[in-house]
Amino acid sequence: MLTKQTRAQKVFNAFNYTFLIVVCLLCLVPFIHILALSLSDNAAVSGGLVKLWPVRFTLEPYRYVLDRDAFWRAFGITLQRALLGTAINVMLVILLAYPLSKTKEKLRTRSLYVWVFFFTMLFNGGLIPSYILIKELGIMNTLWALVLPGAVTVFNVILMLNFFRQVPEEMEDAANIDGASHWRTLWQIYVPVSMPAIATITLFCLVGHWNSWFDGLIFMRNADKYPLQSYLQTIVVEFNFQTMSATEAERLAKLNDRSVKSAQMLVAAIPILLVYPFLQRYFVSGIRLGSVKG
Amino acid sequence: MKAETTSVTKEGIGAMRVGYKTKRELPLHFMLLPGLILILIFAYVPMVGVTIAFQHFLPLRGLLGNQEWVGFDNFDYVFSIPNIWQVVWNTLRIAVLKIVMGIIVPITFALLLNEIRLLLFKRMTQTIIYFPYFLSWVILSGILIDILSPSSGIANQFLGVFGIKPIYFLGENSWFPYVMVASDVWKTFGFNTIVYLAAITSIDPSLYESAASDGAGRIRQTWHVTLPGMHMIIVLLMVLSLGTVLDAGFDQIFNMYSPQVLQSGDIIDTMVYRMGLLQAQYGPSTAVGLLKSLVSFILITVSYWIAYRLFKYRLF
Amino acid sequence: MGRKTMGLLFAAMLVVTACSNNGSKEKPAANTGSQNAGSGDAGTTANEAVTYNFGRNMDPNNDNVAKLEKITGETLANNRWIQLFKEKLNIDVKYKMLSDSTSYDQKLKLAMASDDLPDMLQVASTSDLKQLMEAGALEEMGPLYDQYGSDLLKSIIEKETKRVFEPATQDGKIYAIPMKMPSTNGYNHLWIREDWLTKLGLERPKTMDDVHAIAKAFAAQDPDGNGKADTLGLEIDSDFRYNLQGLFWGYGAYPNPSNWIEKDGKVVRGAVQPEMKEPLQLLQTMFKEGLLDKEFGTKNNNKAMESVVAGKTGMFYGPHWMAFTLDKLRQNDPNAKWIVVPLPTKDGGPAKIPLTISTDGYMVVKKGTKHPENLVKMFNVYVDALYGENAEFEKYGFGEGVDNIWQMAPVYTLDPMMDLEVHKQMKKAIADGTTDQLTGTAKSIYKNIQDGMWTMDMMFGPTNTPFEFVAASYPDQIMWNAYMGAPTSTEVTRGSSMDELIVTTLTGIIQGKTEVGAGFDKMVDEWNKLGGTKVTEEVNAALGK
Repeated sequence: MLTKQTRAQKVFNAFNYTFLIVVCLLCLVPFIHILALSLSDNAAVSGGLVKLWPVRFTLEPYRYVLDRDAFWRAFGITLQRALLGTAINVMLVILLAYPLSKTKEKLRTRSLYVWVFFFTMLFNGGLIPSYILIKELGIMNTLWALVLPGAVTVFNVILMLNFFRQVPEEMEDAANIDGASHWRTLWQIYVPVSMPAIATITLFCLVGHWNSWFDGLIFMRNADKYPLQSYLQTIVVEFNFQTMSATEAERLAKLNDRSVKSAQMLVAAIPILLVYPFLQRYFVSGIRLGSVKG
Repeated sequence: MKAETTSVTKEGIGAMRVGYKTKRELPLHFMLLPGLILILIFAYVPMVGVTIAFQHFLPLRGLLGNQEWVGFDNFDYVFSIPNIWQVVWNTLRIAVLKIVMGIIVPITFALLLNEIRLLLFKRMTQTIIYFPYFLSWVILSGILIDILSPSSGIANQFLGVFGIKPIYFLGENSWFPYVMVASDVWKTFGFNTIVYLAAITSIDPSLYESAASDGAGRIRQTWHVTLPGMHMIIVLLMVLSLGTVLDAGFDQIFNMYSPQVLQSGDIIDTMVYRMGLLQAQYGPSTAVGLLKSLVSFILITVSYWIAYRLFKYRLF
Repeated sequence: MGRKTMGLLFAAMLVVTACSNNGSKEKPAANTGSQNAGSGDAGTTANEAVTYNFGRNMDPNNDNVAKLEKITGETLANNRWIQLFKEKLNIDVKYKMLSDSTSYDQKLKLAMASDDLPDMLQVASTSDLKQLMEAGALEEMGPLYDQYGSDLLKSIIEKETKRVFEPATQDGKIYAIPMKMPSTNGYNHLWIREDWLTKLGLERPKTMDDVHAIAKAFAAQDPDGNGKADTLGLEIDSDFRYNLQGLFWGYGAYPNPSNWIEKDGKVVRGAVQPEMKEPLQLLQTMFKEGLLDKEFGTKNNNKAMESVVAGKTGMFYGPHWMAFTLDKLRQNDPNAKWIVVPLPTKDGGPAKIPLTISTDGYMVVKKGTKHPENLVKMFNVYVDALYGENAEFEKYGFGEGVDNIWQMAPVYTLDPMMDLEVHKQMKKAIADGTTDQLTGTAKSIYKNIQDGMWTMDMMFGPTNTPFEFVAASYPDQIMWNAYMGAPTSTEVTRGSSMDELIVTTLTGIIQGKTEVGAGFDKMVDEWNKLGGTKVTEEVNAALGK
């Protein structure tokens, strides 16, 4: 930063900026395309005439989405599920990662625990027993069916425990000498120091909840309880003549409004797109904490 | 169900010896308890379902009750499917390429972003490359068909400038798997960059300072400080991604393949899906799932030990 | 735009049937319905109150449901239908499973696997139905239907053919009540741009050679007049076995996997018969000549139709409701004029049209449910409300600007002839100059057409429409599929491999990668070895041949 830039560095920087700008464009184009679709007349969309600019501009699709109770009901369910689910996820990740980040000397049954958790990442009993379980627990058709089965995110726990291990041991030992309990060490030392990692994991959990649709489709027996992405799955269905009856296809043909679909897609994606820029500041504060530490 | 939960927990507690150490460990066990209970209920209890792989499962007869046990018949059936090995090969090829590229590309971008000094530009870039992750394959497939079309697609028009003849990316068996890998990497790299960026921010800045005072330039700092600082996360994600070595991406391929690229593009999951179209074949599909889990489990366990041998570091 | 027009069709269907019942031969049947009063018409008998859990494949987030809720506050759980069943039969309906068809099938399978079925439920797939019957999970409905079913109900369900019960029959016993829909939905029509025909001075096609010639002209002679060679001859997509059936029918070939046909006293699968070679040869030639989209193999119907909607393709095969898609072309190009012509054939004679009996699935009663006959009674009440003496189709079919109210009931079944009747009545009235005397649906459809609703005119209008062809060909040119039961055991285990073989080979043939004669024969050989021979045997055994 303070060092003077060499010529090689200047060349590299120029290349770097150009390259990143090109990549950004590549990532933006589909969004612009979908935005253009959502602002175009459906006839033009169905003819494949819309590229990156709306054809026969209209706000009708958005008016339709605003007026659509089913969309907002699903939106509300997703919001509840994402907030409650993420809170539970992150809490559990922190609670699990802390003890599991300890050495064998500090937690003798550590290995057993780790493998008990790890095993569930790869093996599962499949849909039928899960369905029966949810039914027997009496949480079918409730928010809990979407939140509890995936409450322990083992992948994130493993990720987090590796971040926790990077906390210098001296910090913990110092706390121990002060007589701090594990509980206090976790909340007053580990958590503040690991904010970038926690922000990352919060994001993973939020995105996971926001995007998941299959559990909603299965565990919500009535479609008026669907979360947003399950609802969207039902509107993006395309003809499949192998599984669809003629009358089914007919209904779809008539409802096929791709402008409206695009508008719903975009409105559904916006909240989660905004989360990341918001969480970004924790990445920076992580750096600051790091320098204090050094 | 409840009985099972408590018995296992008791075992865990029973394994401890009384003493100062135990007292010091106790809060750690308590921290683990809620997660343990949840996982026992929601992950271990449903595992009785793997028995379906060994049954001629018929609905309406209960899970363990009145079912016909057929030993390994379902596995025999799976391996008797014509083209099964071609499908396994396709899956491995696409999945392994995705894993490799899915690690290299995000790391590269994390490092490139790390070199950017303009904070606003850095943030915006990171946000924008994260966008495609949120587009579903249903939508993307339609867009990709347009972009990659040999007659009218932008991609081929661009290649035409260099005198390259139009390529039927989605319709040629020689191209299809690579298009799947490339488009998947494009969709996910921005999102996957996040975890590497988090790893970079956790690196102790004093290391950079001392490297700089030793006269190391940016590139050498990257090589000697940033990458080593990230290496555990990189190894960890590599090892964990072996768990997906038989998942080549159902959503993506299902939305983009067509009969003419079945030969190179059909993967295990799409094959199982088509089998299931006719009738729910619970036995064989559970058998496939079990085999996939076993393969992943063996791969991860082996690489876990290799990593331990090499780095003297337990990944988890 | 499409959303507004769409329901009118259904609305139309209903009213027309009601009219046909009032005004034609059907009348006695409708009347005798009430003679069953003692047992059948439960409206007069005071039943004890009973509650049933229902499983129904219907999306509560559907546009029409939302509209009705906005206007009257009715929901699927409590609407005019629910009240009607309460009032007439003292039956309370609670929905246990209620979702769109994408997930309903899956939920049903899970409910079956975990033995968690509703009391009365809709089953759409024949293989699910078979499993339920085999497991003994259902009440037998046959005798109850015979005893309690009103004549009106029976006349509607059996109007096309009594074979509608085939998939619901096991060991001679019937376990379900069909939810009948018009089988004429299975037609595949030839749609052509008339303005292009006129411009290029072409005749309407009678034979397949004519079709080929028109496709050539459409591709080569710049019908859109923009000076660029950017038009195609005929629309085709990767699902050509479904979307291009009409072309194959012209040669007496039946590529759809559901097509089982009678041949020399045996039932065989249409897609592996030698008649397939000629249409494949034609398509291969057309592909080579550049009349087809070179990329059809990677495009689904929606994607391929873009070219039609953009005004770049002037001929395609498709069902009557493609009018909704074409309506969009009219907004892009107001000069586009479409006609539907009787299906051309190789020699210009009438085409045979293979149809599957169309239903929206079957209603079944879980074993052990009290008074299973109540399902039949509910069906009686349903058809009475829509088609009976005192039918109130304005209330139960459509009304207040809401479409498809008929579908928002726990059970439903429609008169399968209603589309055709709309067309016939309207055509007659226009010819006789008595359009002011039209009643019911025909009246409202006619009014819609007068108001400029193009899709209605395109589908049901008197000439050059899909239903003109249906009227001319139904039922004389109809061929019901010989086998309509659930997939046989070999089909279940090997069906997907067999189907892959067919679709990849046929795609390759059309693209000219494989030679027609040898390539097709080799495919049939392999197909037979993969299990085709066995499946054919099983199907024939099931049919007792």
